[in-house]
Amino acid sequence: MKNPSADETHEEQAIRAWLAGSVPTQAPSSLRETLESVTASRPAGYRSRSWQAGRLARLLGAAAAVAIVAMVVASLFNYSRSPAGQSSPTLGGTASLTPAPTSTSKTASGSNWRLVTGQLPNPQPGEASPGGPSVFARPDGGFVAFIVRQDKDFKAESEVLTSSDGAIWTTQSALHGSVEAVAYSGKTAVAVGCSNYGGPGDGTNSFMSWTTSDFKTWQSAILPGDASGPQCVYNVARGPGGYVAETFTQTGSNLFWSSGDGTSWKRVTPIGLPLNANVDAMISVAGGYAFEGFLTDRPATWFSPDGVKWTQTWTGPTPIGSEYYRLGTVLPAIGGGYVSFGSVDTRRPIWTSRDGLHWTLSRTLSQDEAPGRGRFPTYEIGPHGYVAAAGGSIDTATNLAGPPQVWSSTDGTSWQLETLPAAVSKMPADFAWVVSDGTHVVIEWKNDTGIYLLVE
Amino acid sequence: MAWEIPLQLLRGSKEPSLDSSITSDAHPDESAVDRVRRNQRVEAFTAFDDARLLRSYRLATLVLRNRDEAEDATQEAIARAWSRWNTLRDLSRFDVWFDRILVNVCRNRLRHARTIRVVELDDAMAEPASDMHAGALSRMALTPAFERLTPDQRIVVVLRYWRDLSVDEIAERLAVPAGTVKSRLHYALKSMREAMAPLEEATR
Repeated sequence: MKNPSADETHEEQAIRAWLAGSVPTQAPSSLRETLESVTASRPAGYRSRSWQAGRLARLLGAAAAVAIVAMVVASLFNYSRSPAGQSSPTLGGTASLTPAPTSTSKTASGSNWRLVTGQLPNPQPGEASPGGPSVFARPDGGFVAFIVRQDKDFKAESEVLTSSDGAIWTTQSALHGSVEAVAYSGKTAVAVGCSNYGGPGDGTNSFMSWTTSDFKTWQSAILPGDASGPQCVYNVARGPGGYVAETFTQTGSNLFWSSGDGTSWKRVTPIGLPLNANVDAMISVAGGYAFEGFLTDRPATWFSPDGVKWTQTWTGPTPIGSEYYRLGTVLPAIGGGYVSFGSVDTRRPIWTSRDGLHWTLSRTLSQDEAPGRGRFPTYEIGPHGYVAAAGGSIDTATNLAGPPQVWSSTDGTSWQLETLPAAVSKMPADFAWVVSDGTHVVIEWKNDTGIYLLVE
Repeated sequence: MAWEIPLQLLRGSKEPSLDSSITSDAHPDESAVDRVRRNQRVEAFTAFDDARLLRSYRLATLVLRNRDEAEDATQEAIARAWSRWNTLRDLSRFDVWFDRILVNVCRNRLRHARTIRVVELDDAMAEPASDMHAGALSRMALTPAFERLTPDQRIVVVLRYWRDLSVDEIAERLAVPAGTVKSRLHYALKSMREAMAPLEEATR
């Protein structure tokens, strides 16, 4: 390292010294193995015995198939979008799309998955960033999608589309911002997010909400608070105290807001919630709200009747070695109550709860028994049972990125890998998300060439 | 012409030892030009010596503040670089080109920050902080101050104060105007200064 410049402030010198003191002394051997394996990617099938399978899944899932996917997809499907479905949002317009190109597969579990392409616009053509999920289920049936684009100054715009079945989508409107979560009260939807996530921290980013009853017109509102930095509102729930929204700061503390109508918000200081409580999910439960999260090294839950006063209701098991138990997304359980498919670093605990506030470790699956080994599976309850989806793992025969994978289960403990339409096998996915409106199940994934859906 | 730059320019301290199965793996329909380019790519990546690997891993570690994520990010950047070789027009610019890929991968991962468990990196210190003042700040204030920065702010801070790159060199790596780099640095330092101030007062 060079000597600090003489005209640097002492803060800059401190930063320089801190960075120099934080660097690792050696690179992991996996990097050399990666290099060797990548450069030896021919002949097909070649694989170093020491290759780390778990990391490989992420690695080549993100990269190796990128070069061929556009050609493969283009040859498999005939994109036939109307102008209304192009990337430019069409305010209030109805996309008269031709029937979505689909292919189907009937699986042993009875599911009938249809591949849907070309219905949702590509948010960032040519960009590798997978972004977060775009499709949300509506409790009154159907789905809404927010397709977020950002300009060079990080200002976000979301194209809003709706669908009754997950397969045919209609452009409804556009929002100035990035939507992260949605809560409902009857026909009223309250979306939360931010105006320009990841911006330069110069005061141009704001915590935002948008309220609608028809997805065509929206009333936007700014939630009070300093949104500098990569901050957005990530959670919103509706309960007896109205809407409660939450986010976390980069320093780990939580920010809460409350609103009676979803348009007028006030900051609230949570009482009884430790500063270092991290949220995995915030949901509405009987009589109030549940904050499902973790404290440093173990899962925990808190209950609040109003979003302000919180009481810790449960503390989960302590870590096993360096592996920390976590809750995951909380779902209604088949037969009543709640279920959460959580994670330890190498195993998958299944949590059950009668009230969403007290949890029992029902069973712990090995990674081989659970969906999405080495990936980040998402879970949902559909009309025929539980469904899990995850981004692709590596195809050891071709060294190419893997397609998304989908599993089903009727009890949450025994999972069957679903058979998907053959064309999916050529489509890489870093992540896959699953949502259901109770009638249809939609699996979503993104790659450089667009957003793709599987609908059942 | 870019492809005429000697490959020796790319070599580090180690001489590349190419696997014969790679260089002889010519496809029947591959043109001579394609074959040359493929071999250039193999050579460039083989010249990716341990020092380069460590430097890349360190850059990712400092930006992400998580060694596991940094390991994954560096692996991903290597694979992306391999698959996007045709975007490198000038072989002598390999380092700049690869840095750009790596910081883009880090930026994307930070956008999924909820999946990244930030860990304290001090146990992997290569050298102690150079003075008591900086040492105290590093534990108490600099880590949270850095973590509140946006992904782009983190990247410019690391490139400026760890890599010792000039504003123009950073701009080249990020493919943004120099003014944008200055702006990001300004707001990053402002944000860190504000976060550090209370604890700095307390340590005096």
